[in-house]
Amino acid sequence: MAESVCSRPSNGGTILADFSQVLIDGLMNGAIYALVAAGLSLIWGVMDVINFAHGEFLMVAMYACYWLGSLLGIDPLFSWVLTGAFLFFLSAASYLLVVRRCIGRSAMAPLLATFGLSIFLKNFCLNRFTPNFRLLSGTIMEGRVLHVMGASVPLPQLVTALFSLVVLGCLYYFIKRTRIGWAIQATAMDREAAELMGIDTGRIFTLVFGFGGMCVGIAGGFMTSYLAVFPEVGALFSLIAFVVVALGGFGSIPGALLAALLIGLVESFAGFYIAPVIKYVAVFALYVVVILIRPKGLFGW
Amino acid sequence: MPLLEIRGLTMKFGSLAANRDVSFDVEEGQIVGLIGPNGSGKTTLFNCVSGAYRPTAGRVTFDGTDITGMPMYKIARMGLTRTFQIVRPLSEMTVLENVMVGAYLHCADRARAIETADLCIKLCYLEEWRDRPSGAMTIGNKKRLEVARAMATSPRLILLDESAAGLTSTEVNDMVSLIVKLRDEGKTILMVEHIMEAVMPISDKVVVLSGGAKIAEGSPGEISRNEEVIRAYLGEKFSRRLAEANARRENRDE
Amino acid sequence: MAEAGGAVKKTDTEGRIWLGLLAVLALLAVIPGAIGNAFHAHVLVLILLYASMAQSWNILGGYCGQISFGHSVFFGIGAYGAGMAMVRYGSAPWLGVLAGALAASAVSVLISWPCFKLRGHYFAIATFAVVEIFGRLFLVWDWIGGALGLDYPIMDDSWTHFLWSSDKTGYYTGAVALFALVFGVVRSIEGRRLGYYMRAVREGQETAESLGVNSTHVKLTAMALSAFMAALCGAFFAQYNYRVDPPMVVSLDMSMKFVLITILGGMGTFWGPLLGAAVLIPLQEYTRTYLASLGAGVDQVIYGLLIIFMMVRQPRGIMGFLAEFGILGGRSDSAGKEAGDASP
Repeated sequence: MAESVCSRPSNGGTILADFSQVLIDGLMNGAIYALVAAGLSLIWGVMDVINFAHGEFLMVAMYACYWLGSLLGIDPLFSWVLTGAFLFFLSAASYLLVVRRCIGRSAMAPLLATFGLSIFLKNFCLNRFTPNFRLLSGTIMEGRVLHVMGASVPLPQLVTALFSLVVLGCLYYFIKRTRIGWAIQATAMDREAAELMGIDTGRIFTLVFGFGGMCVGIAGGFMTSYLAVFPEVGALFSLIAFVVVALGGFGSIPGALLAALLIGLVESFAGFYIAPVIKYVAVFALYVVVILIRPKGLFGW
Repeated sequence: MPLLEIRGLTMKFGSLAANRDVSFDVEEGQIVGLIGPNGSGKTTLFNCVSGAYRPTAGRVTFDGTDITGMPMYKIARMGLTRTFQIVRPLSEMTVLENVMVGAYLHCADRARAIETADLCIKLCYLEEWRDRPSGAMTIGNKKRLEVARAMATSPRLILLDESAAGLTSTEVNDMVSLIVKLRDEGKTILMVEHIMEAVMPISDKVVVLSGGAKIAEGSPGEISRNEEVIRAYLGEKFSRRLAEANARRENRDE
Repeated sequence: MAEAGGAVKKTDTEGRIWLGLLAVLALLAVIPGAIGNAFHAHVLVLILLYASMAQSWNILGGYCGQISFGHSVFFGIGAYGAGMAMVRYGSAPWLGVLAGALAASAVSVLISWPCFKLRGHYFAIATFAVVEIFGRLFLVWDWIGGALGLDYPIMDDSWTHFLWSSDKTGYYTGAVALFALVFGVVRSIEGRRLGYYMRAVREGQETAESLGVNSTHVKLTAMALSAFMAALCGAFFAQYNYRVDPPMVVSLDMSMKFVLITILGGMGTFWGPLLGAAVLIPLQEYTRTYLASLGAGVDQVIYGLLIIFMMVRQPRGIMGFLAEFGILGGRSDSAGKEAGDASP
C-alpha cells in the first residue's frame, strides 16, 4: 500500500531530479505520518495508554470517506470534516466502553484491549467490505501533478501533506493556548493534582481520545484521495506511528512532527538508494538504534 | 580493621551535594546509628554504600575490599544487605517466598532455603503470616519482612533504613528488641533512624549528618550533649515547639 | 507447629501440580483412541502446540514480568531451522531443530541485552520493531527461500522425518511430547531458585538486587529459555504445515498469539497457558468452520471481542475467574494471591 504513497520517478531523470523527487516524497509522507502519529502521541502522552487500534481507526476513516465518495459523491476535499467528526465519536466511544474500564488494572490491559478492538474492527470490515482494494475514482484532484525542480508532485499527496501541517498547527495551538488545552496538559502532568484543581479528568480523557481519533479521521479522509482502502491498510501506518511517537517523545507534537519527517526521509531515501524492500527495515532499525542511545526518544525529556 | 570504612564520600546530584566528604567506620559486632534532620543525606549515604548509586567521590571499603560503585547484587553477595525505608514487599509472593529469595543467595537447594527462611521468619515474629501474600500485611509486618529477607542472605552487615518509622509504639519496641537480637546473633548493624527512643539506647556509636556532612560522631551519651548536634538537629524540634508555644500565647493575649 | 503444618502443605501443593501434569498427560494419552475425527485431532494438536507456545512465553512474560511482543521472531527461527534441514539439506529435521532453537536463544539474548534497559511501553515498541525488521529481512533473504518460503518435498511418513500425510496420530504424539517437555521444564523451574528469582525480578527489580539477585542475568536466562522453547514450537509448526514462509511465522499477529493465549488463561500461572489455548483454539477453529457461511473473518471478530471482554472484566484471565468464583481458592500460586487480595 505504502508503495503507492511513495511514487518513484518514472523518467530516467538526472541525479538532481532523483534527489529532489526522493526528498519531496519523503517530506510529504513524513507530514502525513505526523498527523497520524499526533493522535497516538496525544493519547500516549496524556494517559500513558498505547492505542493499538489507532491504525484501524485510520482504516475506518478511509472506508467512511470511500463510501461517502462512491455512494453520495462527496469529494475527500470536503468529506474529511465528516470523517473527522465520525472518528471523534468512535474514538471517544471506544474510550468510554473499553479503555476506561481497564485502565489501572494492569499496565498492559489497555494495550491488549485496544489490540482486541483492532482485530474486531479489521475483521468486521473484512467481513462487510471484502479484502479487496478499493480506490476512489473521479475525485477533484485525481491525476493532477505539479512539477517542481524536475520532480513530479501529485496534487492529492501535496494537499494532504500541507493540510496535515495545518491540522497539526491547530492542534498545537489548541493545546498550548486554550483553557481545555491547559486542562489537558495539567492532566498529563499530574492527574491527581489536576483533579484537586477541579478538572474533570474523566472528561479530559474522553476528549483526548476523541481528538486522537479526530486526527486519524482527518488524515484518513484526505488519504483516500490517492490511497486504496482495504482492511489491512492501517497496520503499517500504526506501526510507523508507534515509532514516530517513541522517537519524538510522547505527548510532544513538535517532536512527533520532526520524528515523522525524519522517518519519511529515511524511508524514501533507503527505499530509493538502497532497495525498496529495505525501507521499513531502515526505519525500524533507526528506531531501535536511537532508542538504545536515548531511551526517551530523540526529542523526549 | 573495621568491617565498613567510609572515606571522603561525596555524592552530587547536579550542583546539589547530598553528601559531602563523609567519613566514619563501623566496627564488627556494633550497632551504629545514623541520625540527622530530613534531607541531611542519610538515605543517599545508604544508597552509595549499598551500591544503588555510584558516589561522585570517596571510597567505601567492606571487609578490606573496595566496594565503591559495585552493583548492588555483588555487594549483597559479599555480605552487606540493606532494607528499604519505603517497604518493598514482593507483593504477589508469600512471606515465605519473599524470604526464600534471600535464602537462595548461598544455597540452591530448596529444602535448605526453606529451612533458612523459616528461621528468619521465626526470628522476626512472622510465623503467623508465613503463607500469606506479603502485599496484604500491615506496615509493621512489612517492616519486619524487610529485616527477615535481608537476614536470610546471611549478611555480616545489615543497613536498616528507618525500620521503626511509621510504626506504633508497641511495634517500635518489638523492632528495637529485634535489632538487639540481630546484634546478639553476631550481625553488625548500621541504622538510619529518626526515632531517638529507638536508636539511642541500643547504639554503640552514633553518627550525625547535617546538610550532607558529618557534624558529630560518638557514643549516644556524647551525642546527646553535643552543642552542635543540639543546634542542628536535636534542638531544632525543641526550639520549634518553643516558638510555636510562644506564638500561641501571644495570639491569646491579643 | 504452624511451621511444620505449613511445610507439609507447601510440599503437598508442589506435588499436586506435578500430579496434575501427569494426569493431563495420561488423559492426553487416552484421548486419540476416543476420537476418530481428523478435525478434532487437528484441533487437539493445535491446542497442545499453542499451549506450549504460550507457556514458553509465560516464562519470560508471566514469571519474569518482561512483556515481549517479539516471540514470533524466535518461533520463526525455529521453524526455519526445521525447514532448512528438510528442504535445503533434504534430511531429517532434528539437527535443524536444535540449531534453530540455539540460534533463537542466541538472537534473543543479543536483542534483549540492550532492550531490557527500556521500560514499559518503550520495551514493547522496541520488540514490535524487532518483529518488523526480522519479518522483512526474512522476505529478502534468498538462502532461506525469500518471500516464497520453503515447501517441503514429498517424503515418507516417519518419525525420522517427523512428517505424516495420512493421519494425525504421529503429530498428536509429537505435540504431546512437546507439551510435556515445555510444561515439565517450566514446572521444574518454577520450584527452583531460578523460578523464585524470576518472580522476584518481576515484583521488584531493585529489591531483588538488594538480595543478591543479578537481575540482568536472570532476565537473560529467562529470555534464552523462553526463546529456545518458542523455537521448538516453531519447528513443530513448520513440520505440521509442510511448509514455512515469512508472514506465516514472523508477524505481529503471531507474536500476539503468544501473549494473548497466556493472558487469556492467566499470566504467571502454571495452568494459564493450557487453559487459554483450550478455550481460544477450539473457539477459533470451530467458529471458522461452522460460521463460515457468515463470511470471512467472523472467527477473528469473535476473538477480538473475547479479548476486549477479558481485559475489561478480568485481566488475570481464566485463572483469575476461577479464583474469583472460589475454585482453586486455596492454591499457593497466583490464584491464591487473588483470593488473598480480595479477603482483607
